[in-house]
Amino acid sequence: MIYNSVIDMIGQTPMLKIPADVHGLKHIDVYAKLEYMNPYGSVKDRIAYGLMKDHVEEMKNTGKKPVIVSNANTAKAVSGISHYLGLQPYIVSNKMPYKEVRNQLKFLGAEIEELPALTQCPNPFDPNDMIQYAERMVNQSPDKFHLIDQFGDSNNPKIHFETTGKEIYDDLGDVDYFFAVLGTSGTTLGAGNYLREKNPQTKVFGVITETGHNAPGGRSKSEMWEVGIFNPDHYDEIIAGTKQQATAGMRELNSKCGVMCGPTGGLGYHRMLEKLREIDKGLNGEKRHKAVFIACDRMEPYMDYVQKACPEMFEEKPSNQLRVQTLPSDKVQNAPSVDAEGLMQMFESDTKPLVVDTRGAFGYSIGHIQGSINIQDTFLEQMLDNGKPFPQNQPIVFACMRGDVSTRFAAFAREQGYEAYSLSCGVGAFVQFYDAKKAVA
Amino acid sequence: MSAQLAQAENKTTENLHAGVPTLTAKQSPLVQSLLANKEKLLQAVQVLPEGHIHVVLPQQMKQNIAEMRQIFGEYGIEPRIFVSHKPSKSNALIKQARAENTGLDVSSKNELISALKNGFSGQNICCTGSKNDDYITLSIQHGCLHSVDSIEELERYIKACEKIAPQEKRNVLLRINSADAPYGGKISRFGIPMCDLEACYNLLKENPNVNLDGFHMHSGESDGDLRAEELDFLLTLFKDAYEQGFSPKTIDVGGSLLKNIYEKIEECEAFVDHLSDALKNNKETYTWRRYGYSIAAGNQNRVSGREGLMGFFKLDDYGPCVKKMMNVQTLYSRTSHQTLLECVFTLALEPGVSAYDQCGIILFKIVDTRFNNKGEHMTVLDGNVFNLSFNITEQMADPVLLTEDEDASETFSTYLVGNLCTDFDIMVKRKVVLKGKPKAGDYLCFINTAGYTADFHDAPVHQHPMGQKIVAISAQDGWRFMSEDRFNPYLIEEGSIL
Ligand SMILES: Cc1ncc(COP(=O)(O)O)c(C=O)c1O
Ligand SMILES: Cc1ncc(COP(=O)(O)O)c(C=O)c1O
Repeated sequence: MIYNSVIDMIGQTPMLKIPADVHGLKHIDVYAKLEYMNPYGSVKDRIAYGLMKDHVEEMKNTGKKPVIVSNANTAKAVSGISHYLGLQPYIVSNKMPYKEVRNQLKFLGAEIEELPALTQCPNPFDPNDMIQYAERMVNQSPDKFHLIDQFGDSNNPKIHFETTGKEIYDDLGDVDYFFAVLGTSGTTLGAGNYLREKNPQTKVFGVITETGHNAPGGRSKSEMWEVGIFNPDHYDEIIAGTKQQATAGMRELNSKCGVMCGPTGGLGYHRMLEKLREIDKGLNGEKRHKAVFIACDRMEPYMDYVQKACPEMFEEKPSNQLRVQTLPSDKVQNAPSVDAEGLMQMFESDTKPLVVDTRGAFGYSIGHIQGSINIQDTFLEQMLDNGKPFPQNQPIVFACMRGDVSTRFAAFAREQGYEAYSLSCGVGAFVQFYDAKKAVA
Repeated sequence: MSAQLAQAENKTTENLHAGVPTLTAKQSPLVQSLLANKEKLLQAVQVLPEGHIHVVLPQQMKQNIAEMRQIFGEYGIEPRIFVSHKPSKSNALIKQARAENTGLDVSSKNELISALKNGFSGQNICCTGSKNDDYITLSIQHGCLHSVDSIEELERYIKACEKIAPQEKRNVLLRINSADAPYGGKISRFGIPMCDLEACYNLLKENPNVNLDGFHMHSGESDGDLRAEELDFLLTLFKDAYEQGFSPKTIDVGGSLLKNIYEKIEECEAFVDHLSDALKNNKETYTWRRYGYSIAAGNQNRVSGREGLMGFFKLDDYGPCVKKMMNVQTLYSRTSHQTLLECVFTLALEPGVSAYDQCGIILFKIVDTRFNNKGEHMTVLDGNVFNLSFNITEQMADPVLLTEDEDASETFSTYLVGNLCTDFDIMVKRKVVLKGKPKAGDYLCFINTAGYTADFHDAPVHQHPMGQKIVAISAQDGWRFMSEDRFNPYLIEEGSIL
């Protein structure tokens, strides 16, 4: 398909049917509206351009900068589109926690004003409330700035009414259940109203995050208060979810349907399925029902989020359990050891031992036993598992911080025929002992 | 009270109190036990001079310190705890900290003197904060660990060392400005900006008697992910410092290990929701003169600032935060606790809230109760807002009514006002909900205050007295009360007072 401008590529996103064996619902078909297929990567492309388009000429002629309060998708879309149209985007945001995001926006030509975060004290006079700050800035210099107000401008839902809602209806006809995560609430308000206009029975569900949880782009109940256009009465139900549910939803969509969406897509999907399972039980199969949710943006920027929500997913597990790790505990306990005095004696004997320090490189670089070599435990496990990395004709003394890790290695190396020991007192204590001895001598 | 008002009060009691949000303060088992013995408590209080009373619970501090050691101990870490002196002026609590073999974090010359007086040696004192010459002098004389807040202070400190202890080694921590951390810390006026760090290194290289013992950061942040990044950042500073030829050992991550001080998060949410709705839709806020805390209803239907207030209501104690801090991946793909252990670094803490949590309560006597011209019920206390909380931490929780009335169970809501001649002397800026109807002569007890914050501001405005302190000990034979002077932590063993 040929386009003349990237602007023409905004909207008309694909609708993917989720296979019945994935969701397991008897009477309901489920569809994902893949908003991440928009050119700048999210559902926000629609309103970024939609809220700007009537002012582009004016901004071009006067040199006014489009101002946007956001540090996420809307900032990205407004920056990208402005840059492309020859305007100078200006972003007001809280301090951006991730350099990557900041750099992306800079790359897209944005000027960024980060407001310093204040203390935790509730401060009624916080001069740095982002939205108020931007409003003030624009009011003071109306000739320099044009505010794109996604939180207060009723054109936000209007755009979703005219595009998102209409597209869904054109693809599916009457919809029974519509789910999306609430950010500005523009999507659910606008598209929800369109679907209800066509079919007054359409149920609209807004998904938010539980207190203490987040899904970037979405909001908690508490944060919804800050959104001027939010109208709680619009929803048949508002459902809350957790970071873990968002991640689980992303995972399932990705692995079973190839949908590469971010946390709000995952959360919307996860909460939707739970709700639909309940509804499905009460349906009699007279007619098939249709449910739609919005996959708002892509997964790539959120791996840090996913890792924080589900750290266990990222734990490095060797593909096969290494033999060192499966040693029975009696063998480990019985591994021969030497104390500081014993190691000193070994140093003074004819067959000097090889001391292998299993700590991390930083600990080793700060202080170690003279002559020891450093092989960090994680590497050492693999080395020992793969063969016999040390000379066989020399005693090996494994040393760690406290004598616990080294015992396991000593036991395993014994099995492999080494004359291996664990330094029971650990490196620190040995170094102290050694220094004291030297001082006396 | 006029007869009409009395009548009005009886008539309207029900609608007066319906719908007022409650905020119940959490009580530790020790505090619960103390309040369950209110007769004994009130008897003990009778003999004290007039004014409000700080009842301090040193045994609680003992538990708090043990808990902290246990939480860090799970990662093999034995933290060096410098209990923060500034939140409390209670000698008994400081003595207890000494008995637990902690150090002390002091922030003025007089706090340093208090530390010395209570048996702390210089090595176990960390001097933080803004420092005048006398404070620096005493810090050097006693060989305290000295946290340096700026390059200018480092210059002053080095000069003073040359005069006061020319041949001796002194240890400094460089406090780093948290706003300069790469992950985007909060704005702060404390600590050395990163751009001055190189110059600090140069000064230290020229003056080898002043030893760089480590780095310090107190960001006030309590979010586990941010604290973990902070620790990771500090560890990278250690690496740089080693590369420059220093050998720092101490990594001081400050305080702000938070404890939840409210009983139910649902109450907190309901309070914030009610307030938001009331401000937005012009309903009764149940706050004094429609005070909104951090919340304001703005243009276009917006209600902003809820997060600021919600930030006060924590879901978790600090355990999960420590878990994140101790497990963050740092240099050379080691976790932070592995790095601390393997490098033999000392993790230092300066706990304030977590050390003093539930360590004290404040009792205020009720002077009278009345209605004001708007028909609002007010309870007048023999104390004022300076004795409770002024602006650092808002006192929000409902106090507990201590009365001898038997049937004190019905809820009663009232505004608490103080004994100053200024309009702002409102002790708690929301209408509090009490169990029972307050009357002159009863006491109101504020949980979790005497050990923290309240004592921070206590001031003799109008020459009203400052808080009188009394120590409460849970002994085998029940609660015992004594003066701070008489309290000796070493004479208390497993509930017996020796
Ligand atoms: C990733 C993501 N998901 C969901 C939303 C919510 O959409 P809306 O603002 O229309 O409610 C947004 C935008 O705020 C978003 O960026
Ligand atoms: C330098 C420093 N350390 C420690 C503390 C104690 O902090 P917290 O009460 O948050 O534990 C404070 C408190 O203000 C401080 O300023």
